[in-house]
Amino acid sequence: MKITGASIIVKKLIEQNIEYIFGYPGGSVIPLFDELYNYTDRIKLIQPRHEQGGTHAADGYARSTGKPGVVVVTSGPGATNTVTGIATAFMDSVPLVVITGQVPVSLMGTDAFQEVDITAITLPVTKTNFLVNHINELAPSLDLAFHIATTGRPGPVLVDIPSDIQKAEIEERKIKRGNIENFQTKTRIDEKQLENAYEMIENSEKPLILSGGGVIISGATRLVERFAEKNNIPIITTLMGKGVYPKNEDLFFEGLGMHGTYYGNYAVQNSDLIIALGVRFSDRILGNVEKFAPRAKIIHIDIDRSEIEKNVATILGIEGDVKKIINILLNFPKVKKDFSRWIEELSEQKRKFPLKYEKRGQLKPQYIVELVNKYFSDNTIIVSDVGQNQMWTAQFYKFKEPRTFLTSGGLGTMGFGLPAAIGAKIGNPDKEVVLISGDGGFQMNIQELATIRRYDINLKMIVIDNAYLGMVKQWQELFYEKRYSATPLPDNPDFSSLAKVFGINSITIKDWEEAEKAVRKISEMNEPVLIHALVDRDEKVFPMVPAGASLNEIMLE
Amino acid sequence: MKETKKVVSILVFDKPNVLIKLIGFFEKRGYTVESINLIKTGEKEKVRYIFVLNTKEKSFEKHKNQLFRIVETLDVKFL
Ligand SMILES: Cc1ncc(C[n+]2csc(CCOP(=O)(O)OP(=O)(O)O)c2C)c(N)n1
Ligand SMILES: [Mg+2]
Repeated sequence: MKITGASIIVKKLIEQNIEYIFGYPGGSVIPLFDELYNYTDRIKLIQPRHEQGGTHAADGYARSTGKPGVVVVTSGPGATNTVTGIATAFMDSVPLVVITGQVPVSLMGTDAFQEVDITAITLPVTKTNFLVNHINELAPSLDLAFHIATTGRPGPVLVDIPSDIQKAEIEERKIKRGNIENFQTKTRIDEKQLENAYEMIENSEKPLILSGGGVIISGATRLVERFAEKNNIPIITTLMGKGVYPKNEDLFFEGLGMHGTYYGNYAVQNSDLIIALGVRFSDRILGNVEKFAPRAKIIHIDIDRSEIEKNVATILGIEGDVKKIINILLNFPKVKKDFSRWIEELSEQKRKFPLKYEKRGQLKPQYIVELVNKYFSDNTIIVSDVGQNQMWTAQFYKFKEPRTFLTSGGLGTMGFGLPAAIGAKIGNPDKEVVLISGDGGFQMNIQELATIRRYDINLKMIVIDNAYLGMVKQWQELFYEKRYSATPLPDNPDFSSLAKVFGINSITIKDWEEAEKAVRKISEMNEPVLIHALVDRDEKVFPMVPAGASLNEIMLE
Repeated sequence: MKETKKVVSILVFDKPNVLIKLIGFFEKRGYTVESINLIKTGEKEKVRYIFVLNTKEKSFEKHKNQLFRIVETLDVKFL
């Protein structure tokens, strides 16, 4: 029996247990959408209002569930609109499979209508990509795409499929499978290295666990907490690593880097052994790399060997899945060394220099984040946008579960929040999802309010309106003599009215009391709702390590 | 610093654009590519590229690891 390319694609999606796709139609994917129309009971289509929104939504779905997000768009502008979303997912190691339509094979290379070389464009922001120019290659390419996107260090993969390939036919029995053996990641773990690591911990005085996004991705959160508790080792996390939270809170010193905590950075700068788990040592946590962790030896454990020795020198680099590795380390006896003096040293720093803000005067954004923390349960998924709102969320919300903080870390993509929150809610219908966005970023994918209405997505949105591109303004205030070039937003729309136009309830708040009432209220509501929060326009994010400075040069206010 | 010559042999899963990725990889890290040779391995879907590179970079070793960020990279050898 013969079967079409479009039918192969849909069969592959079903084989991969794909429940949702995020798709937007156009000329070169009509055959595929036509086939999808036969399977609406198996694969639900979520249609955004912009392909960038669709890609971030697929990303939010993937980050929150651990399953791959699937995007289907047309050629040319449809494909280019996904690029920011793909790059965002790439930087944060999120598994996406992006299927783009392409002009027919015979027209490729002729500057045909809506032709764009999307495999060339996305080469540096995908794990890999495929241009399928023969029907024989279609099924194998899709097998490989899903395999590569979801294994090892996850990431986006793009498959470009010309419209005539979608219509072409092939004998079903001639369909080949992708050769995934070529892309197996190393699974053998070198136990000798782990013994080494264990010994180094035993010989250290001031060990510190630095837990990153890889711990969340590999599902090692609880194991890492247990390892820290068992051996009484203090722990800090990166932005992407939030969700690790030992029951023994005394071991937890939150974040590091540019907007980490004072005591988190102190821990790094004074530790003599850093056990780095699934981190990539981004410049945002290193500050001045020469002065980073001057007293520490670094053990770096990561599934991606290309991260080891990339940005910092290590005494021991261990390639492998952090979950497997911690599991083995948990079998070792409890470390005999007592680190309680070191923990006391850090606790003292924490008492002296806590995270703080002024709890009077105009409504402060940090208070809103604390209210969300107070009124929503620990398994609530919190999505931020980018800027000050993101850093306040990271600092003042206590993330206690993995995959509950979705944020664009590596690329810092404004406009990520709203669509990613939509995707998260679709993947987690039983969990609350709360978006905390800036006023600038919210307007970058604001069209997706229509998507919320269409699918009745029960999402709680909070727009922190400081009438500025606040994070950039903060730099201008501190380092550019308050020359506010291109950062004021005096002409913001009234976000409350705007929500109503899209058929979404809203509440405007401007003082402390209203804030508490509103956050409590939305935590009890069972429908989408937006809080428009008019906050202190001059509030800044502290502590702050200026770009390129050492972590010791931390500004407290 | 003096320029030195490096010869590196990279076994890859053969796919369109892999060569472009390899060239981009070296250019981004300050190497100039002097020549490239493609060697068929006899094994299906696998080829070997021999790059002759000029570099002032000392930490060549660490770039060896980073070549594995390209998922098609199967093996890297210095000659
Ligand atoms: C797409 C994009 N464009 C520009 C930037 C640079 N940028 C980083 S933070 C920021 C300000 C964000 O303003 P807003 O959304 O109001 O959030 P706030 O910092 O005020 O909380 C800008 C412009 C970016 N990160 N992403
Ligand atoms: Mg703002």
